[in-house]
Amino acid sequence: MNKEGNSAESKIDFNAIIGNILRYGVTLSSVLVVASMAFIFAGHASRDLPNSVSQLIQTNYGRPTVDFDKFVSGILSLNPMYILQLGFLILLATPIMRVGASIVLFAFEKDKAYVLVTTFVLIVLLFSIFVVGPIEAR
Amino acid sequence: MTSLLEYTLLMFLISILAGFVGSLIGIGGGIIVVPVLTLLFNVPLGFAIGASIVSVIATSSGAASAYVKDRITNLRIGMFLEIATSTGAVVGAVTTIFLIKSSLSWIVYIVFGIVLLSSSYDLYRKSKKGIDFTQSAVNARPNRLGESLNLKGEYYDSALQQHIKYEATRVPGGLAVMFCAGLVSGLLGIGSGALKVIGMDTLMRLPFKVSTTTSNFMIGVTAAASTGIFYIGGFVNPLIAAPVMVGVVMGSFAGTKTLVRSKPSSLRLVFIVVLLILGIEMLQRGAVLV
Repeated sequence: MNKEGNSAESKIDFNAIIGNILRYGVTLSSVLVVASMAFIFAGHASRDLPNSVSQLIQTNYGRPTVDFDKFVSGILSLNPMYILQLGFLILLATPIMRVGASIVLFAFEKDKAYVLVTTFVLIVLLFSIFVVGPIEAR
Repeated sequence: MTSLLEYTLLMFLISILAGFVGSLIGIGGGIIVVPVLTLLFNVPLGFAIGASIVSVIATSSGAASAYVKDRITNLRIGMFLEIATSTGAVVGAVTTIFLIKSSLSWIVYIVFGIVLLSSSYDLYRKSKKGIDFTQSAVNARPNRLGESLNLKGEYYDSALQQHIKYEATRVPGGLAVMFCAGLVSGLLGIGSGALKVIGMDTLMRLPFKVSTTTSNFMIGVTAAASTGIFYIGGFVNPLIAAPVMVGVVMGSFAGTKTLVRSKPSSLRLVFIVVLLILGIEMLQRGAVLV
């Protein structure tokens, strides 16, 4: 299907790299989410948990922080609530990484049209997180 | 009153089931998960959509990693069409959040109900007719835009035991359908894979196998565009989303492993009825809120 996959000159396996990014991203994120959920319910953090789903929603307990310093110190202290957030961030980052890697790979093949196409998609993704997201958070 | 632990375990099981059955009959888990969260657990619509869309990224990326290696997925066509799907998803997510914040969430419920009912009907129609998975489309009129962007390819069809060459046609129309697919995905927190397949298969005349695998490949990026907005906007609560995400991923992974062996027609019938009931319930919820 893809010329680059068949051509003898190209040493990079486009499909394999893309496939691996997706697989490792989802696996790592799932492992972090499962482990942190187990620690949240079994460990010390369970004392602070809301009693019911409706209470959780009313307070939006565990809402992801957008404060970078707080996030990093939470991760470093192995707080499971922050590890859980990290799991979801890795999941969100997985398709973005895939798009980023595609830009590099298209550039390697000197396919200018697709470098542009893929860069546009990356800009939309980053725009949604860093511009639209903060507007909606207000 | 459901305790958090009860919710987590129950939703985990439901999500496994939704992901499993969904992947067996070619429907994403999101379309089941959102109604279950809102109708059964009274989770507000925005949080339900936020939890669902996260699971959509996970299932799409998990499944795509396998298909991409099969070399049926057309990466170029996928990435080109993502221009439209990701833009549509941003518009969809912004619209949903606006509607929810303006106490107009009944509109989203009604749209969701309509999508559920039409999916149910679509599944019913397919079960009567049966789709020909071995069909291949050869185009008489390739598209100029498609040609300059190299929107073509070939793959080895193991069922037909031959190489299938194809080329995309009606590219602008395809882009328009993809924008709508992205819009629906961002609006409702579902993958809207069926709509993407229609765009590629019916409109752009790509082979069915290429359409389905490439659609799956695109769903992850489409969902990421709206997830960024829902996440930063505070609509993805990790404690609500965790059992959904892990459950749907596990269920659909198990589903892809069993796909080859069984043809579940009775399972499909159950799903047709489930979608129908959920659709009616969502319409009712919307009507109450008007």
